[in-house]
Formats: sequence, C-alpha cells, structure tokens
Amino acid sequence: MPSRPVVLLAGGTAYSLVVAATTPFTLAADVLTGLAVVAMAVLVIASWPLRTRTVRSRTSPGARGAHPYRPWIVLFAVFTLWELANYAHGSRAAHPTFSSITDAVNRFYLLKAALFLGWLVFGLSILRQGAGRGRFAARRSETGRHAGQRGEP
Amino acid sequence: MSSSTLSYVVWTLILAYALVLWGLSYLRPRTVAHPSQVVGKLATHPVARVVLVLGFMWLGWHTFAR
Repeated sequence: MPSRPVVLLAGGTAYSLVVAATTPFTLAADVLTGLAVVAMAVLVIASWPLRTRTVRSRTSPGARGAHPYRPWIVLFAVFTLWELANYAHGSRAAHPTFSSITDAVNRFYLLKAALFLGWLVFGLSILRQGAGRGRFAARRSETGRHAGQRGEP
Repeated sequence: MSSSTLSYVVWTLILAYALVLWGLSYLRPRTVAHPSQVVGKLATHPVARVVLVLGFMWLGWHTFAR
C-alpha cells in the first residue's frame, strides 16, 4: 500500500494538472481554485490549536547576536519594495510585477501545473508547521521531551 | 538598458538571493533559518498565522482564478 506522502503527491499532481487546464476568470478556475482555498480554511480550523506558543529558533543560547530570520526579512522587504515600485509605474510591459510574471508562466500548461502544485505544497507546509507537525516542530517537541525527562523546565 | 530589462534583472537577483538563502539554511543553520522554520515561526504567532493563511489564500486566488 502506498505511503501517505506518495498518495498526497499523486493526488496533488493530478489536481494541479486539472487546474492547469482551466482559464482564469472562468467558472471552472474559480471553482477548482476555490475548493483548495476552502479546504485550507477547513483544515486550519480542524487541525490548528486555538492558542499558540512562541517558537524558539535553533540558535544556541550562547549565540545571542545571531538572528537567523534576518536574511529572510531582508528578502521579504526587498521583494515588497520592488513589487510596489513596479506596480506604481503602471506600465506592465516596462515594469513587470510578480503577478505579470506569473501570468506569463501560466500560459504554459506544465509550468502552471508545477506552480499550482508548489502552492499546494506551501499550503501543506503551513498546515503542518501550524499544527506542530513540521520537521523542526518535531525536533522541538523531541528536545522538550528529553528536557522534561531530565527534570529540566 | 531598457526599463523592462532592468526590472527582470532585479527579479532574477531576488530569486537568486532566495535560492542562496535556502542553500545557506542547510550549510549554516545558526545564521540562516530554514524556510520551514520561517513558516513555523509565522504559523505559531497569534497574529502572523492569520495573515499567513489569508496571504496564502489570496496568492492562489489571484494567481490561478482572478
């Protein structure tokens, strides 16, 4: 019997290939994309805890100056500023935004399917991390369990 | 260099920077967090997790439906 990740990957790929065949601004595109959006909302409500706990980074207590999230904050800031700068200029041909680039990519069936599959995988990652089942979340809970066994807080 | 060329060059540099960060997150995990750690940090913050989920939904809707 195939494992759960294989089933998820096969199902996600099949769904992405179907969605890639639709045209934006049509009922089919609305329904198929909307189904994934609604599924995300339902799964978040069903699997996420009502209250959250602050997640600590893997940085050791000794390296207090380190901020492993800073490079990603810089990336997000640069991305946002460049998107806004292009958007403000108006002409999409001369100043392409992220949306206009993805529109160009979406004209190719397989690239659109890959992009949709990537979006689904991103959603799955959000679900797993929020529910405390992600790769690093598992490591965190494992560390906490060992600390508890040693009588540490 | 035309405006569109400059724009595409900057977009390419942003993509390259993201890929470099991804690679560094494996090589130097103490200085660069792994993408799933970033998602985990956001998904476990009481306000950021709502923004993250709504942003994910909007991204899909805007890219594939309208």
